[in-house]
Amino acid sequence: MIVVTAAACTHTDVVAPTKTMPPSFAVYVPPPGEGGVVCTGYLKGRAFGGPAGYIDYGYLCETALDIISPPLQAVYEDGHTGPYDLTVEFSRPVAHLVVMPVDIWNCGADPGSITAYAPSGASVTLPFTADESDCGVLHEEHNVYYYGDGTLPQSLVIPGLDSVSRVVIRPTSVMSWFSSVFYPDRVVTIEGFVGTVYLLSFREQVTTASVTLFKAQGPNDGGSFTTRSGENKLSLAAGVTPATLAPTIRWEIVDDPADAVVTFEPNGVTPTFGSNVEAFVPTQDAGRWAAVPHPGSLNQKSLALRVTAAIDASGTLVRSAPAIVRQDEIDTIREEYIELGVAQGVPGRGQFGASATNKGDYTVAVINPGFNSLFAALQIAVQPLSLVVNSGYRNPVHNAYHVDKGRGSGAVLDSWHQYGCGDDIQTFPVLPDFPTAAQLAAAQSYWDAVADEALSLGFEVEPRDYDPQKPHSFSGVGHVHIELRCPLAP
Amino acid sequence: MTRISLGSALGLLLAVPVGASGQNVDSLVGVLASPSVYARAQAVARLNLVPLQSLPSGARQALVQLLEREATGQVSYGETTGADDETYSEYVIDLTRGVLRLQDVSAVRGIAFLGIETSRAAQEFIAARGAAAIPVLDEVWTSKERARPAIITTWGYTLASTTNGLAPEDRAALLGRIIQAVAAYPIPAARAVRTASLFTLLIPLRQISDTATDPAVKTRLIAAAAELAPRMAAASATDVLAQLAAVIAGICRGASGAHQGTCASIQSLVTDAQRHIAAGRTNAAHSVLSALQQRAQAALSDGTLTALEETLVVENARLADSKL
Repeated sequence: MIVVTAAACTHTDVVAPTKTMPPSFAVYVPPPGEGGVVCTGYLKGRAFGGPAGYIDYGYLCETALDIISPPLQAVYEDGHTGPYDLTVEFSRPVAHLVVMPVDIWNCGADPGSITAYAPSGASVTLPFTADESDCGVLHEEHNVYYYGDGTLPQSLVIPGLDSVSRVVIRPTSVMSWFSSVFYPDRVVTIEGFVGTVYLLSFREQVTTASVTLFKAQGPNDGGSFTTRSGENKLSLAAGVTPATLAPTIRWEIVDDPADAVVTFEPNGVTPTFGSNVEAFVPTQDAGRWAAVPHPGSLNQKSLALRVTAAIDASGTLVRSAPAIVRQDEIDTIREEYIELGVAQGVPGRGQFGASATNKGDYTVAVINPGFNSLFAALQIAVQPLSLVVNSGYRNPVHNAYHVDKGRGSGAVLDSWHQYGCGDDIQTFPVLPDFPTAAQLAAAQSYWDAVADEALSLGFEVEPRDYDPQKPHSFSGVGHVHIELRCPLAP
Repeated sequence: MTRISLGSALGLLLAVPVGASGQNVDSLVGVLASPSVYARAQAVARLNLVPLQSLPSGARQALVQLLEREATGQVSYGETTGADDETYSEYVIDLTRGVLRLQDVSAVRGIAFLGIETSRAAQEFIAARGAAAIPVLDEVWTSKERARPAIITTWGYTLASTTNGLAPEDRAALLGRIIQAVAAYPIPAARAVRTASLFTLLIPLRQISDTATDPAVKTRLIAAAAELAPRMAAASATDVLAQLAAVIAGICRGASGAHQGTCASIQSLVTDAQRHIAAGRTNAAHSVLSALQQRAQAALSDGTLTALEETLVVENARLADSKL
């Protein structure tokens, strides 16, 4: 601002503007219409959420406003060489555009105009208007006088176009002028400047964004997983529209609320955002198994996580349809070995199959061909006796929590029953609670016959009879427990 | 009485991960001294997973000593377990398995007293010791009646072994024990007969099976006979008499009085028959074998041979005669 001081001049020497206008107070008009979010931005830069005066600088709108001509210095013209038309493009079409000049213009000057262009090329040109009610108005305060010579520009609503992609602003014609202030002893003349500062408000459509999960799976067959190192890595992938948002995809992995299992959730994903991430299923609470009944359902046993991908679309969180990453039956069984820490380790997935001697909680059991072949040899060797297995495969939870100690052979933590390598063979006659001597002798002979052949073939066998020093140190005559140390899964 | 829950025992061992690091093995060895059979069982199961070459000598010694202490009642059994809880018996299988893989001769007592009931491998380990293990087996025979079937089976493996350097008198002793055991323990005795290929017992076993009423016993004897029959068929008269001589030596071991006289007589006749056959004197051999049958039948009458022994001598003499 330049201040020029002149003497011997009073306020009556100034020819005041004579045009008077009714007052108008439409300095700011919010974008008309409904929907979307209100965005406001100065030239040039990114629009922020919120109307003028309440701009939320923390929330970025999608749209950027870019002055493409003249070069950037014209944003604030010098008042002597301008005005220059400003051509502004929006990074994406906007609707309900309102342009608010942020300045004081000179009374009598041409307020300028704006031409708005739709993406189709259609355009509309509208003049700016200004509140001239102060023009020529004498102001006096403490014996200091001046005449109003500025107008208050009005917000301009751009009608007639559904969307606008570009505007050309023709600024007011007078970019600087002199104003005088009359003091009792002097006159001060001030040169005022007009800036080409415009505030553009519009309604930004909520991004039509979508997220689609492409992949949410563990490393095992069918996308299953366990908590064992190497098998607990979930691979997650999603696609997003628009694709530019892919780096911002965030992931939500929570316990599947639809089942009866509490699955501990991964501690975040790696990387934190993006379309392709990994998550690691943590160690679970082994205590959960104690409450699972026999045989129970997979809904009570299988670990499962609900995975959702999400993006922030202009302040609205858009989520994908959720995907459930769930252990299949085989990995659910294998999880028992992991969580119960069975000494011999975790059988491989390929070791499971259907078994006629499966007494566990699942439809599949660990199959050990070596054991089964030897068992077949045993069956042949003891002919015409016919072997009946009253307890074959037991999954670890069944072995640890369900085996009826009053009836079965009792739980042994590292039992080979858990590897398809242990069978309890029923002896005959099945003894009543109080057998006769003949019945007992017959059952003992049956036991001896089966055990004899089993030992000969290479099975290991529990002793039959009572050791006085160790109350429960034998299988009893009711069954022959045979087992093998089977090859373990790598 | 110490009561240790399944859960606490499990928790104790879960803290000791399966692995072969020295520190973990040392920790597991420490658990072998636990008063809890659950804990000991878990420690043994895990030690069995340690590759043999990674098992330090201290761990090996601890396993051998634990088996012997378990076998000889030196480990307290203070657990309150379910009526049909088989933790201990499966633990014994595991412990035996773990000791056997060491092939440590100092484990003979532990294996003999406890392990031989659980596996053929244990029985063969004892058999491989030959004469050195016989006194230990005798000790077990006396002190642990429930182990007798396993001992009889082990005798069979001892006789069958070609590498244990068993002397003829020890062989005779085991043959005699097996024949004596046939009546009371027919199933393990039949197994021993099969294992040692004692085809000279084929006909006695057939006779016993013919009269056996217990179907399980009957089927085992029939199975043994079925296995021995082709061996008998393939045997020459010389083979039959050689094994018969050994069997008679077993029957006659320690004989005294009239029994000794019978033994001397039939042993002499068998020797004569072998000599005649070797010299090609078939007619003489026929005569001697006929005399052997008559002598055995007479011994049955005077009570110096049992019916089984008489059958064994008579039928094998007749068989050898038929092969001439």
